[in-house]
Amino acid sequence: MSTQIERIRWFLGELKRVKSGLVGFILLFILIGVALAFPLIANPQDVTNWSGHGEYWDQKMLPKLAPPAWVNMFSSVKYAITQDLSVGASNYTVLDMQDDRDMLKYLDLMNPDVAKALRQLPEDQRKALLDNLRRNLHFRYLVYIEKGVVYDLEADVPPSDIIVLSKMGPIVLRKGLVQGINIQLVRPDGIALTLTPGASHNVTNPFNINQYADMMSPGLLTGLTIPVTVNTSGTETCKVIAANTTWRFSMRDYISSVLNSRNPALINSILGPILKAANVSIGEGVYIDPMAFLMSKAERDIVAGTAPPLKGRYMLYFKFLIKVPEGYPKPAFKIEKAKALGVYGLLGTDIQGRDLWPAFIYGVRWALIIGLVVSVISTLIGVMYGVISGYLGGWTDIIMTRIAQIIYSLPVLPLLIILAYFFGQNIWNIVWILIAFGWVGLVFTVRSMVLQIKENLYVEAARAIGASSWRIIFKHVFPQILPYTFASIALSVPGAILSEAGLSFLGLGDPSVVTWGKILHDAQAGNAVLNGAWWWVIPPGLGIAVVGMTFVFIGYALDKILNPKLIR
Amino acid sequence: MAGMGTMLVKAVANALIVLIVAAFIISAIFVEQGEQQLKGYALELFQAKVRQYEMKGIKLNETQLQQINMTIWRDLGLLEPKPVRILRFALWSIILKFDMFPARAHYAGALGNTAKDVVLAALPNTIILFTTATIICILVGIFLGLQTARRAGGIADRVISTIAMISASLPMWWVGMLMLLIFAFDLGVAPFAGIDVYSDLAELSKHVSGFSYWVYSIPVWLKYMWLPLLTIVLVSFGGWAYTIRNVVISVMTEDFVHVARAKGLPERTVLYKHVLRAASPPIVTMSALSIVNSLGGAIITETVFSWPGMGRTYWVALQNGDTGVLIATTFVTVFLFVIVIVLLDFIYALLDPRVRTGMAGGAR
Repeated sequence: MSTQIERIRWFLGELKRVKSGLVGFILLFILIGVALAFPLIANPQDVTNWSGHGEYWDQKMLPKLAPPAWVNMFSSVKYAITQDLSVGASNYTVLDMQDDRDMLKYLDLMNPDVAKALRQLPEDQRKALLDNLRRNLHFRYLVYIEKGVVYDLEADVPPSDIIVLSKMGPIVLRKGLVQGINIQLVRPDGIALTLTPGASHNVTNPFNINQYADMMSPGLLTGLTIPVTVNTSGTETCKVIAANTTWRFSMRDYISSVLNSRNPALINSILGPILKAANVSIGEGVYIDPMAFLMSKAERDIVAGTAPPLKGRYMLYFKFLIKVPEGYPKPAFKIEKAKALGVYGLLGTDIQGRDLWPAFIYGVRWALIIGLVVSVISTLIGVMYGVISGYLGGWTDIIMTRIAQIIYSLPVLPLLIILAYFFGQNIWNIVWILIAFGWVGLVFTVRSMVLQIKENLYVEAARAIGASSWRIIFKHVFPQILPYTFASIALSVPGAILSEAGLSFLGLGDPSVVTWGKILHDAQAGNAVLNGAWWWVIPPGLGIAVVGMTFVFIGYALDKILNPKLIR
Repeated sequence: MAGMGTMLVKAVANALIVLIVAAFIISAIFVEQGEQQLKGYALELFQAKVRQYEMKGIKLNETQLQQINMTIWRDLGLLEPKPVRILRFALWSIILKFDMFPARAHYAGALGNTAKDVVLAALPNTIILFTTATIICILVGIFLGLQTARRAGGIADRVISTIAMISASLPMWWVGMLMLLIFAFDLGVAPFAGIDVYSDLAELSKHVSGFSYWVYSIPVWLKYMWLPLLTIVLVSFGGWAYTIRNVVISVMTEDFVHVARAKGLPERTVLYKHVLRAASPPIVTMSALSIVNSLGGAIITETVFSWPGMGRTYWVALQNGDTGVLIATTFVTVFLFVIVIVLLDFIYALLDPRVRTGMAGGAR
């Protein structure tokens, strides 16, 4: 036991002298630590839901192709960061038309003169007139809903999008029952944009339908991406926004669709206030970045997208004026989540809006597992093969060497590709395939070492006292080769990792396992380079290189320490 | 020269054995796994045939249809038992008869739609890129290797060793992606996709023809080639320089070098005439291994640069499940590889006087 400890102590002492080896071991410990601590560093759910779980990532509402948040530390231009937004103003008012006072209030707003005249009438006359008026209404309740989202722009580059996720409904859409929606963006400079314009701009009365866009107007709900179902009850067929409908409003997508509509009247009615303040107009076919346009100072350059950002508090209002017929439930509108999308997280996101950080950290695990399993098993096979071939000699040796030579002369990658193409749907299959080609390189060196060891006197002595071949191999030959084995295990790790990464990059990896090669495959397939998404490309490759280098350093150090003969 | 003849025969025999083994492995996998695709192809052919008859207005009865189907299956070798098919397919592979396999996806530059046409279009492009890269690597490697060996342990030596260590664990194709990010995306001085070379050449052919087309096409190729070339050289030169340095150092300790120095020959002459000459056989062997290694990396590197060579063909074939093209490409790559090895064995023999005179047995 004490000799073991002494040996270890001696090894550590030697290690101190070989600096690169020390670096290698430190790196290895860090990597193992990261691999073990993965559930603490990142959310494991992200990795289990990595592929084929679009809804998981949709729910997270992450930006697509967003650079990491720390770019702001190195950039003079500050980017808006991805953040949850608070819900500000809120109002929910119901006017019951069966109630005389509510009815009068309604008339106050709609037709003050009539309301005034009615108020002056005696009680019973007023009631009769109100009943008469009620008969012409096709609804019982008039519901006014208002919700506001607050966004403070402090960055130089506005967010790439503002997304509001809400639950709404039920709303029955019927001919003759004009109901309105009004989405308004109030900028820090006081300019208010009506994103869904109605008949009139200058109405402040919330119950006046003229300021709302009619929810029945063609294309409006589709443009806003509000899901509508068709409801057939009895003879009547009408469109319905069902109860608890999830509505995902993307400001960027909506404004883009408006800009792409090629409808100058519509564009002017929505963006008019800014254009007027800046004293510009939008030419035909000019590309405009919607978010930059909405959040820049109203200056001449706003169309070109080079106007300075307008910092300060933005309010995004959602207003509804809903008419509820007798016997129908009252509608609700609840903002579940509002988000400004900008730079995100430690490593940014990919083109599907997936957080790259957990995937990158998780990659350490598979890199180590693949590297070590492949190199340990293939080295052991190679050493055993070489020892047996060298020790037994004769025809066995000739045939075994010949076979090894043939396998050695085969180019590995093309065959790996073919094998992985047919059998590689599982990560362990790929490991076996890599082992199948990985063991051969060692055989020749081991064999020549064994040939030398075999000639030693103690081996001859062991043979003379009747020791079996296997005993000699394990007792006398193998221990001599062991140091060399350690070094070559370490040195063959990078090759294994590179091969797996290469196969995964070609799309031949295990689809359910997130490896660095797979991330890079997605990057290639998702045109990361064309989009300049360096945060998607650099980390996984760097990871591969660092793990590879760790083992190269360790390998060279082991070689130096354990095989002193090699030192020149 | 008897030694050389034996040497050559041995090298070719070795190569043949390797090729046969590779052909059998690929054939076995293909016959086992690729059967479905071949059957699908047979069905396509059958339907096309039947349509032809229908167009002529000939109505076929059941037995005739059966007969047509049988003929197609026999032509594709689907009727024979599996071992026979493996044997036949291995034979086809060895004689590079790939016109039997259809290419399903579209491959740039391919003149027809069989695997053979695809390979014929892609192979020259790979060779152009590779040979150039290898030659540059050899030249840079020899220069740096000799310089670092002369001052072993110096700063240059340590830098080269470190570069070699680092580049051994860098995926070449990833470096390619970085190069594209820098030179194509950021600086905009390189094209994103090598495949566009074909549209440029098509444009060129409208204006010039014949010999001048040939001359004018060189800068076009260079425009698309320089970045992948730079990438391959950047990732490989460290390894080359390092191995050449090691060989040169071991040669420099030999007696004849001391003698040359003692004679008072200038260091340059000693280095470039005596040492390099003696070091060249192992350098050739290492070149072989290096080419072999980089060939793998380059298959994927080509994909990154969309270089219209074998690598990109692999990518397209894999994306489209184009088994026939995949098999053909694999075998041709193996074939190419083995030929390179044989050639280098032969060059080794030419360079090493001991082998030339039959003193030593093997090449490795």
